[in-house]
Amino acid sequence: MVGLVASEAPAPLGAREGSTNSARPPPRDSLAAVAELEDQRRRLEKALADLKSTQARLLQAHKLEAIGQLAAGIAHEINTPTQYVTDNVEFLSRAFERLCQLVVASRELLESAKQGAPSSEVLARAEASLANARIDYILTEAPKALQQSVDGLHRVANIVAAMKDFSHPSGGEKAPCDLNEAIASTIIVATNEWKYVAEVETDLDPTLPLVRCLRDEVNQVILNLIVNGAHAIDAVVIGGSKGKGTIRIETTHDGGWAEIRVTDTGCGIPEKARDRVFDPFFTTKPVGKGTGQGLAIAYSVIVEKHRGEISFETELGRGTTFIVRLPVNVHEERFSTFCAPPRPLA
Amino acid sequence: MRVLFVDDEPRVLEAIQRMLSDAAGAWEVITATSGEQALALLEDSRIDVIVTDIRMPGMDGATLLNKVHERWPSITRIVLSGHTDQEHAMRAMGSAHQFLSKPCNPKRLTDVVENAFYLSALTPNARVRELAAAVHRLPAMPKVHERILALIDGSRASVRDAADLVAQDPGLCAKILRIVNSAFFARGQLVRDVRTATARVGLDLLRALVLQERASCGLSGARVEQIQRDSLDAAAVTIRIVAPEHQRTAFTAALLCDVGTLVLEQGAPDEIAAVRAYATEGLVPIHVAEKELLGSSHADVGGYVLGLWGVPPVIVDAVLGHHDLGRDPSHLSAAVHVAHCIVAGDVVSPEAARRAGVESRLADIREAYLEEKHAA
Repeated sequence: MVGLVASEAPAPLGAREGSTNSARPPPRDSLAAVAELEDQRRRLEKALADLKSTQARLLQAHKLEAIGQLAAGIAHEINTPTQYVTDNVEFLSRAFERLCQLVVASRELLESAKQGAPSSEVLARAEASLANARIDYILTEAPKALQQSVDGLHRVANIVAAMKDFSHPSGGEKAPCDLNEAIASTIIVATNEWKYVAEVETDLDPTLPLVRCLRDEVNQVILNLIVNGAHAIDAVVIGGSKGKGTIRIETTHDGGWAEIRVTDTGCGIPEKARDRVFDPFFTTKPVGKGTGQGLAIAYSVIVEKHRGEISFETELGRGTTFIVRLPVNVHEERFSTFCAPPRPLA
Repeated sequence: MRVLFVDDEPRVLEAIQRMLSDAAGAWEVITATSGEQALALLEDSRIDVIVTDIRMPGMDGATLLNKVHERWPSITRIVLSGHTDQEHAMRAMGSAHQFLSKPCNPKRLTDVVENAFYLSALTPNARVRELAAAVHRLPAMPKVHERILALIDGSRASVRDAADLVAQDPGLCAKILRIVNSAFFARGQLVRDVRTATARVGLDLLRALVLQERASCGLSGARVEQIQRDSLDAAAVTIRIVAPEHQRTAFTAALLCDVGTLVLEQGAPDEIAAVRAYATEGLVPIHVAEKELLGSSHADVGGYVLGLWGVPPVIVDAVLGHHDLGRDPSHLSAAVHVAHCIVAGDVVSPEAARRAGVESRLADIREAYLEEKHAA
């Protein structure tokens, strides 16, 4: 990826220098000068188009990489409830078997009681199956086992729904999107990235209008901000061995803008790195933890593709807040409120 | 018997407790939601088996198992993890006896824990357990071997992936090629490529070969080579003894029979030298000398270690019984016993020959082996 950008980026720069140099001398032959300018303009345009397509490929590559990393975490998030649902069901099926035996014995007892005093054999059988059933244990544990199994299955269903929601391709078409919902899905999908080092708190403005955007790319931005926050906290709490930090995600509706704030209680951004935060390939993370693409892509998605804004506030040792602002089109808002497709389960 | 389960998700622990509640009479289940809590519990009570998750906030499972290994080496250490990636599996392999992945079916989990109890009951000798634990104190097994074990024990084992790993270790390659091309394994044409060789050897046998390497890790020299060569010869002879459908299992069992000797060689080299001297002077078999001087024979040690590593019970029993036919009544241990006698040049007792079902073929098998050896 480095090669792609390095080889294609200098072209427009060179072209621009050429154009300023040749434009300075008085135009002796203005027609030739115009033709040259036109030629350079075309070259610039082509370079720009190339750069855009490189950037699109880069975004796609980064997205695939992020999904690969997420997949391992999601597998873990699904394996855990599957484990306890399996064990609970095993317990419940054995408990059911013992209860069935008890019912059979009780019926037998009832029948013989109706015909007079039950024989000592029937009594003994009923007592034995009652003892074997360990009924008190079943009575206290079975409801919990059922409840936790239901919870576990819900959790799996939620993760799968969030995954679908998160990765649903926009196909490059902007569509009305509920940012609060996008944030909720992204938090679930990224659970394994933050849960060992942080708690996630949300304060999502219910009056936030739908925002017309490329939903998958905005999801990617939110994911990058959450993962960055988790990494920044990890640097302080060292894998959770020194407690957990907090990632706080807020949305607000501010006039024509929808605002997302992602705040972490991590290490903060060092002063000398602050100017380069949004530069491609710039990273302060150790090798293997970050490619330096996350925020560069966030910038490209928010600023260039959505005419939004992205900025940050940071304090060393205290943490960082990233602020994303996306413009809300009032007309779109009304349009989409009526025409929005049914939403998946939150 | 007490089992300690460690997981940062309390619902996993609760469910396991419920699932195991039927066995509550036989074993006591204790739980901890963090590595730190687990260590505190270990300080206060005697634990026989620990089953832990790997990724947990604070102290992770690998660190916990390392500490358990240092302080309480005789506790059986098992991993139960939802992480499917190799990196995590590998990190835990070093200090864990066995690796289970979530979701693990209840029967398998129960079997593994019960097997640990069974082994402890089988080898009450504390000395044996110390020696078995010592295996892990040696320098870590070569990375490739760890990866092969993690792959085979994982849920997505494939011959293709295993072969790719085998190809990274020339020693192992050579060993596998030698085995598939030995007179006993070969079916016509020579096998020259690692993938075919691995496919023909199969994952079970590959695992056995890697475990044999693991037991001898850190050791080298003529004695170790001799032990490995004899085991391989005995494995080849065993194939001639048993019916075709038992050949794979028998081969594996015979190959792993002297893993205990390797463990003793590295865990107690001075004592094992004394044992050999005692056996030579007193004209007693090695395993008898071991029992007299150390309290356990190499069969005990081998069976215990292999059992801890999750080798199937039928093979563990054959290893445990290969010198003591009264211990394991199976046809398999008799076959392994006979093969070892033939390779060692010892007399095969009529009873052993009968149990192995080779009374009429004994002379032929011995002759074939000697010819084979001469040819080599």
